Amino acid sequence: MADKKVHLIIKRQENPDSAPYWEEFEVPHTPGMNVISALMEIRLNPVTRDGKHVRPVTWDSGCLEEVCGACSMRINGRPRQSCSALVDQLEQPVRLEPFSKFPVLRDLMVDRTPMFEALKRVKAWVPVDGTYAMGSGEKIDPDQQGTMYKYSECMTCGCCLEACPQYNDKSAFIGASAIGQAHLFNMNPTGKNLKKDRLDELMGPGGVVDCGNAQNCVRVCPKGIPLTDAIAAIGGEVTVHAVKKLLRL
Amino acid sequence: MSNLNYFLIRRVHSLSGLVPLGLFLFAHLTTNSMAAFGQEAFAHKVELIHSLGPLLPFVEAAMIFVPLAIHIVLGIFIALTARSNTTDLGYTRNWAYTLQRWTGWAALAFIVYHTMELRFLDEANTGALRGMMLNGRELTAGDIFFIHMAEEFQSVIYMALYVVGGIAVIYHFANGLCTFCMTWGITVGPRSQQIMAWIAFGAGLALFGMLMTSIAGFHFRHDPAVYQQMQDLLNNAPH
Amino acid sequence: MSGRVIIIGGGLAGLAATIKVAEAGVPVDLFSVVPVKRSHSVCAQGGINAAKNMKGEGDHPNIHTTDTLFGGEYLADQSLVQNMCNDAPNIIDLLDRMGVTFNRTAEGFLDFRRFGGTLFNRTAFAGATTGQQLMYALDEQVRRYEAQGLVEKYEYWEFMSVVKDGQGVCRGVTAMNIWNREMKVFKGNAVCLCTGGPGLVFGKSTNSVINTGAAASRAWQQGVWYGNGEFIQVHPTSIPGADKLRLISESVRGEGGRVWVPKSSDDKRDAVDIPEEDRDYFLERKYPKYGNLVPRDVATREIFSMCVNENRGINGENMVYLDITPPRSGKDGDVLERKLGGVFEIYRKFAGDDPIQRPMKIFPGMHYSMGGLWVSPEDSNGHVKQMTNVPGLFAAGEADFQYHGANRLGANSLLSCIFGGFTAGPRMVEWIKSNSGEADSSVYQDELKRQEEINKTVLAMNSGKENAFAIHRELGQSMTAQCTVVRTNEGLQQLLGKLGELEQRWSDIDVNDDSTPVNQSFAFTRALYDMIQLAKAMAKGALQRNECRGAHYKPEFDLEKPEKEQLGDHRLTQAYKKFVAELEKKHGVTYDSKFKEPDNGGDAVAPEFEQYMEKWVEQQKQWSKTTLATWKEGAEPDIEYRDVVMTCEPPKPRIYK
Repeated sequence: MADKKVHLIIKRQENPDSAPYWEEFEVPHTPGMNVISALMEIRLNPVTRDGKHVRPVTWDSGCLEEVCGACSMRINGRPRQSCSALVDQLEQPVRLEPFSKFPVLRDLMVDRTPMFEALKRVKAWVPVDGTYAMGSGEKIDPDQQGTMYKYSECMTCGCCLEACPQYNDKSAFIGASAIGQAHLFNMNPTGKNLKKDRLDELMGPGGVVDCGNAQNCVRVCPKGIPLTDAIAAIGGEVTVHAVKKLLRL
Repeated sequence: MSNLNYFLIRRVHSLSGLVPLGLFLFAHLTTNSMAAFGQEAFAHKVELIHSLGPLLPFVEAAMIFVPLAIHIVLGIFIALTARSNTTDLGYTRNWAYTLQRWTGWAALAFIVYHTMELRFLDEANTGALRGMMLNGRELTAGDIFFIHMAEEFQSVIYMALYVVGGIAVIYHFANGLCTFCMTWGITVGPRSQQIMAWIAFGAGLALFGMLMTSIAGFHFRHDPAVYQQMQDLLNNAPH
Repeated sequence: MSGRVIIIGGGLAGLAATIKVAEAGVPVDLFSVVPVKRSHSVCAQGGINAAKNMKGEGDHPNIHTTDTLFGGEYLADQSLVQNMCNDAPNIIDLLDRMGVTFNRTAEGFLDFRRFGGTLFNRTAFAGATTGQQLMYALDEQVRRYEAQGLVEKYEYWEFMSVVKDGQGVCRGVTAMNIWNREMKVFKGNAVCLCTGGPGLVFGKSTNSVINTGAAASRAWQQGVWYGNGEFIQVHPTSIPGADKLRLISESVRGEGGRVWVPKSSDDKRDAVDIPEEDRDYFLERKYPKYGNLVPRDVATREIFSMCVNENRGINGENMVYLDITPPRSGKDGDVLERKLGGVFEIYRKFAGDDPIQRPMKIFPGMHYSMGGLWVSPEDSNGHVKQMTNVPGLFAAGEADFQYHGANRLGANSLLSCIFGGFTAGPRMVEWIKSNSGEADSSVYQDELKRQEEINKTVLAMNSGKENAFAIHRELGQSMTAQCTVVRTNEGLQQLLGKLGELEQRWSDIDVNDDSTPVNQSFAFTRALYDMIQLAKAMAKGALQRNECRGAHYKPEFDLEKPEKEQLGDHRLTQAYKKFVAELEKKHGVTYDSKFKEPDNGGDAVAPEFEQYMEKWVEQQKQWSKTTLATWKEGAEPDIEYRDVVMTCEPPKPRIYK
């Protein structure tokens, strides 16, 4: 299999304002290779399938072991991390596209700033008094820790938002990842001090009620985070919260 | 709009689909299923509803038209924020989501047609015929409806329209039942949601059975002679 | 309070420093080449050390200090290590309060596990993604300050240079917006480089692709000393891949993972079919006391030598088995899944096999640089802890050279990053009180102009015949071959020649892209130059250091150890006693008696051992020194040596009996 090749079709875009176009590449196949190594091959010799010299493909990446969340893209239509997308497990030609729900900066790289802004909106943090020695935190039941741990693995990669039919330019929906983080910090013994603020935020436009229960988020999450559990749980909590507010309890 | 108001409006949409609209759907199809037992059984059931007398329009407004209008208006706003993507992500629930919107539009069209046809257009007719005697029976609203519908349901196109429209409404309700439980935090995990999906499927199936029973009832219990007699009565009625 | 602090890098060290500065009410400009949440610290898997003694083992920060110093073969400045180990329990408590989802005991306390280089269960962990969890906790706190307006983030901005005034004091930085190549100068009264390690200098490593080491190299080229560059930790266990080497955490061995090869190199059976008696658990065989948890450099060399020298790798390839399957580790699959799920997930995803069913195949991979920018171990003589030799310029995290000496203990890196940041932060706050002024505006403009000139030159490189990524691959291959596990002076000489050649060829690169938006080829080409420079510091340091110490292993200078039965207690040798007395005098301290005499008096030592200790003492006197490299344009760097602060304990020989 010395001359086995990998065929890639890549959606390219020069800059944020220009029109996208497609280019096809062919790179040598190596055992166990992922989409990133295929892109690295192109970078070494940026020539398209029909022999045209082009500028190297731009893409975002970091750890290459699926913990940093950088290398998200649409691979054969599915939002996922390109580092863990093994070429042998993909249908060829492999179609690479940037996320469609975020502004494209260039080629496969997009601007995911709104995701980090969303974390501010839901106050995804524990309000500690300070960093000085104040003793340890509260004891936590190991089962509870296990539940919280799943949510704390969210790497803000954006797959859940890309897959969400409710997350788009016509809707203000905040998306599953931020709701998951709100749920995580509501579970923390100190983080829950800000629970009311978080529920207030998620009650409004773009909040949890804008979820359409398509549940794509949980299907595409590379970390298998139970995002829909969080959405349902927050949905219930927001209801109670709203009733309390209504009755001034 | 304050966060609380926005939330309440969305929750009203969610709730109205279940109560009262979902309940009404059950009641409505139960009544119509009586068609399978013939004109008399159907008419009897309808008479029970009409026994509310002068209260009926108010009950109808409160239980049907107002909630329906709210559900429709909000639903349109919600449906307009969607960007369906089942081409790339053909997961079951993603289809369920997309179908919920499609069936919403379909149900809207169907309900508008259905209501216009029967609730208003025939109002005059039923009013004119009510109390007259036909085949030894004093005609009630139910009798008139039955005879009229039985005639209509002889048309295949008409039956198809009601099957399609009915399925759209039933799907919209059954899937809505699932998403209602998710939205309100009643079914939180995948397991409870799966169980709820089966329950909703059962409910949908029951409603579908009732729908088919109703259509079949009207279709097979048709008596062309009776219809002709009613037409004659109508034509001879004093204006 | 007037003054601004600039922090470069949003990994654990950068975020820790940011939190401390913002907490003091001082505004921070935080720069990062990626959104800070994607910094390389997220990759740390195993855990973070703190001698909280939660398992009734009598652990203590002093023992943690000793383990760290011993593991690093006494090349670390001891006072700092001691501070770090003493503060470690507080840091864990703080992280706990910040909401890190640490694993818990049945009662709900923090759970601790055992890591390499120690006999204590001292490592707190959050599944197998401890680094990620710690990162997120600090990221969240910084986001809180950002929401309050105290922290301004410049994400996707790359540090290009330090701005120094006429007196050589750091007054700001220049940085480039990666999205549109905009160059800007930023004024700051104190600057801290928390830019991580230089993994990419080795081509493929366990590091993220952002870890070029370019930032540290740029500061080095502007006059900051680079310390201990030759000390490169090669992690014993990683999955070899086409794009990178993926770390398999030491925690796998901490939870009972065992390293083995078939006893016969002809054994072609599937791993699960090879019976116990045909397996060679070579680490357990050679090191009965520590077994699979020998320090990293030892494990790495043993695995390397098993494959390369003895040719006993699996199927003749450079790989050995790491076996955590329940029958071998003695642990239940569910328990393993809960504690190591994150590591298993990586192996399943990237190697396509299940570690609970079948042993993993692993090989050592470049992992961590103990070396880095020189920062002061003391707050005296004009020096400030964590401050480089350029006044006002601080460094912390893997970017600095402190805390780990010649070799880093597992689970000490997260600790040193946070502690380094926590140390740098308050000192910068203090520093700007007396250094709140600005340089002349021409100073900033000149530096900006210099950088823009370089950019112009690099962008115009479009007629050459070299590809930057291909040169990078060559750089990585040469560095990995000559400057990792085993080093020879001949090889290192060749390597320096090669680096010179690569530097020449660098000017012949065709950047192939002169566009403005996110021009990665351009940015990488600039960074590649800096990587080649930094590689010289590592290679030259390694060439000059004629001994074996920690991660630096040069067989031709290995002290020949006496036979096992001739080994004795080093404290009883005359050479050692004399050496310790000299050290005490030199550092003005009296070491604890346990470092000087055995409790029970001990037996007399064999003359062979006495001779060995004489040679060992000579070696210490010559080489237990920090390597300081100074950059020279177009040439090999200058190397000087500086005494190590030894205020806690005297070095002791590394003998595993």
